[in-house]
Amino acid sequence: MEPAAAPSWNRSRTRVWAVAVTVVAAVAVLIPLVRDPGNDSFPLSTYPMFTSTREPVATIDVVAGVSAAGTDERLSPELIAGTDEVIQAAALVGRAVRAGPAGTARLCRDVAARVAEGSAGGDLVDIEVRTDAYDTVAWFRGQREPLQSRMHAHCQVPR
Amino acid sequence: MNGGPATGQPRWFRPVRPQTLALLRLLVGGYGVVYLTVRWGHLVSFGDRPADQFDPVGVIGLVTDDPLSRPWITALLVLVVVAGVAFTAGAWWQMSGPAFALGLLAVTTYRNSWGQVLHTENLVVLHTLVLAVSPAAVAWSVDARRRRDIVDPNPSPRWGWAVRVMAMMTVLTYLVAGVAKLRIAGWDWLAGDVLRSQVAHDNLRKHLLGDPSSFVGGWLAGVAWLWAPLSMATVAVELGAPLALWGRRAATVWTGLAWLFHCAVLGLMAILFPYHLLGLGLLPVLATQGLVDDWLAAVEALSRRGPARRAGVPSAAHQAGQVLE
Repeated sequence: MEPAAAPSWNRSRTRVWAVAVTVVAAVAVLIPLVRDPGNDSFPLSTYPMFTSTREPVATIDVVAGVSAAGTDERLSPELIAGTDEVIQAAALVGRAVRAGPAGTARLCRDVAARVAEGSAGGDLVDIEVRTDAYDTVAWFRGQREPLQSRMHAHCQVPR
Repeated sequence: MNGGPATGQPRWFRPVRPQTLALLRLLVGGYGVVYLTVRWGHLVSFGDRPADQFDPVGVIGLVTDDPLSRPWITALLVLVVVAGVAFTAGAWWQMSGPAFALGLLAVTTYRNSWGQVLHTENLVVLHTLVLAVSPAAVAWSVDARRRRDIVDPNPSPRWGWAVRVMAMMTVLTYLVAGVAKLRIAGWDWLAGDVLRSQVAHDNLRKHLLGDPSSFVGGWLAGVAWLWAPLSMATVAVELGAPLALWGRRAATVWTGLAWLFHCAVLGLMAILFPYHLLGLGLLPVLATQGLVDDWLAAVEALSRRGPARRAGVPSAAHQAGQVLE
């Protein structure tokens, strides 16, 4: 059995459709080039990541746990923001800090509740929402203490 | 078979075999289904988020200002995964193609509507949308088997155009990313300080927020001379991406460089682009140059050689040409 003869590609409606899809696809992907780069969207992105200069001393909004021994313990993005995406966790913490004392107090309570519910962080007694300043390059060379630290909220883990 | 343009065909409509388009449907659809399944818990968890964190983007912003509850997200995911399985199998293509593409667009856009747009899923969504409006289920599909279609297995622009559009979308996304760096930071981006500071900052932030980070990348941020060449290489790969549509050698070289670029991003920043690292995002660039046609032909030749050698005669499929199902 031979394959059925197809109509000429040059005369086919498929060719018109192919041209139309090609043009729409090209325009759609290139449109972000004329948008404000900071006005990102999905899936047609301006891809603004890693385009702006970071200062050598970075101020980073963090949520940390404090153990009974008084040591600083890192919390996971799940405990901080209920997500495994660290960028979304960072955005959430930053937004809470910008919202002021009410926002950071709420975030602190939410994190403390998640720590109390979960098995991780069993020895944590307190939660802190802070903005810490680090020399980012020096940190990876062993200088781990923050240059500055500003406390926004502090709360106890309910047990 | 060299995948070159058929006589009288414009270069853009480079022909490929229908199996190549079908292979892309299987791989891209399969990736989408696995992605949704693996990320199910993460996606459903958005139903527990406070509404004031919801910041809709893209199509979600056109549809609603309010987040979905957990049962609605679960129901949506069930529908999209079912459509995805049908998409991958090439079953009820006229329905399953658009349903899965739009469903995947909705789910991934919803995931990006919580205050921070991520950039790891853009290309799989764009590729799925192109496949959905193409004849990608003409071969190796439930529909073809059910209809007992017989399709000419030779390369044709009828199948090649969709592969070409997918390849175009791949290279244009890299181009837009490269232009964005120069638009925002200017030519200073090539000096390396921007990339260096970003790598150090991103790795430290990840560590402080309890996520895996690259200590190698952070440590190398202290090696100042390294970052100008890395920045130039990054922009060269991104701005040079359209050259990959030029020919076979260009496509092969560029896809290799782009893959290495994503390996470097993983090694230096602990950022995983699974669709690209698995090669799926880059495969259409090779496919549109006929390379995947050649690989499939080689596999077919090998599979024919086995039975023919055992029987001592050329196989029936070899003699009669292949009937596609």
